[in-house]
Amino acid sequence: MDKKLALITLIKESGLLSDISKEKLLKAVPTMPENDVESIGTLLAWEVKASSEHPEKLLELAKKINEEAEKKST
Amino acid sequence: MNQKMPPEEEVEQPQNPPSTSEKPVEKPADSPEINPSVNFFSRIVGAVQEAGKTAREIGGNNWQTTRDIFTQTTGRMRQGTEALQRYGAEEWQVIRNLLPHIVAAAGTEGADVGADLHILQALPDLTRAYIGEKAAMLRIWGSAAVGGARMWAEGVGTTFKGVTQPVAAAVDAFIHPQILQPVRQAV
Repeated sequence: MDKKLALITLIKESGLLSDISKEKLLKAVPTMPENDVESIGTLLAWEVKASSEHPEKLLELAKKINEEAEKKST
Repeated sequence: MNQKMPPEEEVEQPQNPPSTSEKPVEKPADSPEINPSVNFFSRIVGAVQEAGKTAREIGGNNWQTTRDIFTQTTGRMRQGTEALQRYGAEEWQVIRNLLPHIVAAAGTEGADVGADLHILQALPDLTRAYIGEKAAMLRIWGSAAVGGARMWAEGVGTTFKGVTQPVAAAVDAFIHPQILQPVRQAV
């Protein structure tokens, strides 16, 4: 897949970026230097990959840890 | 596997946990305009955790290789935050400042023991810097960080599924050719 096309997909998919930031980035992609495409793409790729299976998994586990801690403290 | 529990005061369950859409009401004067949500924070932790998990999958018991891959990957992620700044994405500062803490916490102990406690030790700075004194939010964030570290340490991380093919291809376009493939060949 073309890197710039891939970056556009990841920007749209990212949960880190606000709508305003997404708009700015999407406008900038066509003229963006390769190095910026690579680095922003890598950051967003890991984020999207990590959140792809189950976005709430982390928080669910956090709640479980909280429950364990509460049980230990009582 | 490490099963240490975090200090009680950091993980106490709030009486009324805020929803993931709720934003902190206080922020320091020098913080960026964006107030990170729990979802925002957990996504950053998740990204680092996923990078760590992948590094371990490739490096196996060769901890030097694992560490090198992890360092390379997270270094590129940090460059990504600096690039975001150049394009006016106001989230860049929060991500950039959070990343080193999360990376340090996750990477200090390789892929095993202690990652959860190291995350906890970094939390006071994170919370003071970015989310003020709202106690309930602090605890949720703390829990999310601990959860992320523990998931990473225990290899609970995600497998790559649940996204459309174009999104999967977009992820592959950056992660596999640039980070993983050369390393796989070297290993």
